[in-house]
Amino acid sequence: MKLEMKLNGQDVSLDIAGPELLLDLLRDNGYFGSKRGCENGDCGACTVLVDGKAVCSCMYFAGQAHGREVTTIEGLGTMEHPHPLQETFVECGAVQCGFCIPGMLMSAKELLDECPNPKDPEIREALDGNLCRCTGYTKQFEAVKLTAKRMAEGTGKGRDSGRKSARGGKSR
Amino acid sequence: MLRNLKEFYYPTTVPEALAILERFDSKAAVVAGGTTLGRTDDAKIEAMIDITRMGLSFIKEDKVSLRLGATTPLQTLAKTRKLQSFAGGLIASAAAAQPSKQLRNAMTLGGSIVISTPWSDMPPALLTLDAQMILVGKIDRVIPAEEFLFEPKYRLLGRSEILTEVRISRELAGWRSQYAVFSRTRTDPAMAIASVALRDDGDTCVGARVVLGGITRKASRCPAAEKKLVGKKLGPSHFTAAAKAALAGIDVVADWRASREYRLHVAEVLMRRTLAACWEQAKGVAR
Repeated sequence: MKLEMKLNGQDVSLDIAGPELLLDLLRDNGYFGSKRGCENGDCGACTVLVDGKAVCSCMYFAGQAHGREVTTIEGLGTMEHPHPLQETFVECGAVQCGFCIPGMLMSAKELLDECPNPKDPEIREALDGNLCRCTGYTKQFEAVKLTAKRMAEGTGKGRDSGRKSARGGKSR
Repeated sequence: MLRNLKEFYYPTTVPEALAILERFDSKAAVVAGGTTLGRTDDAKIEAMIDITRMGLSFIKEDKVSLRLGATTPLQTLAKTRKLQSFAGGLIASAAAAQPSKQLRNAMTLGGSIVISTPWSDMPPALLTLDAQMILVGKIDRVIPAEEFLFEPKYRLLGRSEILTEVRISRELAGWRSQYAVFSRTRTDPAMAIASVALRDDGDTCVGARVVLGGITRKASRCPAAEKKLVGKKLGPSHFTAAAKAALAGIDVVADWRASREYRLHVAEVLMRRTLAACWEQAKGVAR
């Protein structure tokens, strides 16, 4: 069957098998940012946004995304122009092995899109579906908080941070 | 895996969805969040009907009831201010008890009722509030939560019927409530669930609804416990007696998570504490 959706801002039309899950479809098409973790809805490494809402793409039929707008980590920022969340995650040392980070960033993006000035419990709640076995969550929490502050002040960094992100890319 | 699944349908009205169900006989499944069906192995399913585009995601009130659309996501239930105050916020608390925002975003009210695992959070809350299930098919039916939850799993598969709405009497709006889950970790399925609602008249308890979940296959009301509470000026001894009465004669399930004895013990303690917390809250608000 044909699936038509908006993927990271582009209209796409893809052939899918009926039972195909969104995560499989994305990875088969080169979107390797969304990770396959537990396949059980526990870890959140596969998190993508569907119509702006964070969902586990491993428990979401590709067919359910028909006519909807899907955003993956690839649609968040680029090496040259990282999203403010990506800048602060690197700055705050919120990334260690990095496996959980794409999912974590998508969850954080949903939060900041809906609530640009979140309270501490709201940040914790927004990340409650993402497991990280390296960091202990504190740095990620701080990174989201700092992003919100910077975005509110309009002080997101420009070119400078592009280099930082590129460095983060190499170390992976 | 649903290896014979070939097609998805996206009806925009209930009659349209029913016509597709009818056409596929028992070979079409209704999908909303997809968190359960995505991991189901069933070779019978050939078509999937996505019911999330039929305007069934809503929270409204009419003169007699609070009306919740079947495809309302749990996250919406947890975050809506009206539900955070209605009947002590029981529905919002139960929805928020589901760990992981990603799952709360996907899971729907209707799905959690239809699938209804022993550790599902919505069924105990809906039982506590005597919710009515609205089913639309050849004939429209209104079924009390109690009756609906005891039908077999996937009962809606193979029937030309769709759960469209849940209604709760507005008379319960002023009740106090408490919802509590005991589990090994926040994301592990519940070993015991206590869902209670109380109404007080100054010092005296004038209404009680007590539901236990997570310890048997389906959550259930505990009339014996409710009798120990109504008409009394409640204190610790009443909560102990009611918790004992709630567990008396219940055939508790044992599994690798917890033995029968352990589950029985924690369920009783959880119930006692939940009743006490609910009563304190009720008194606090009433005065």
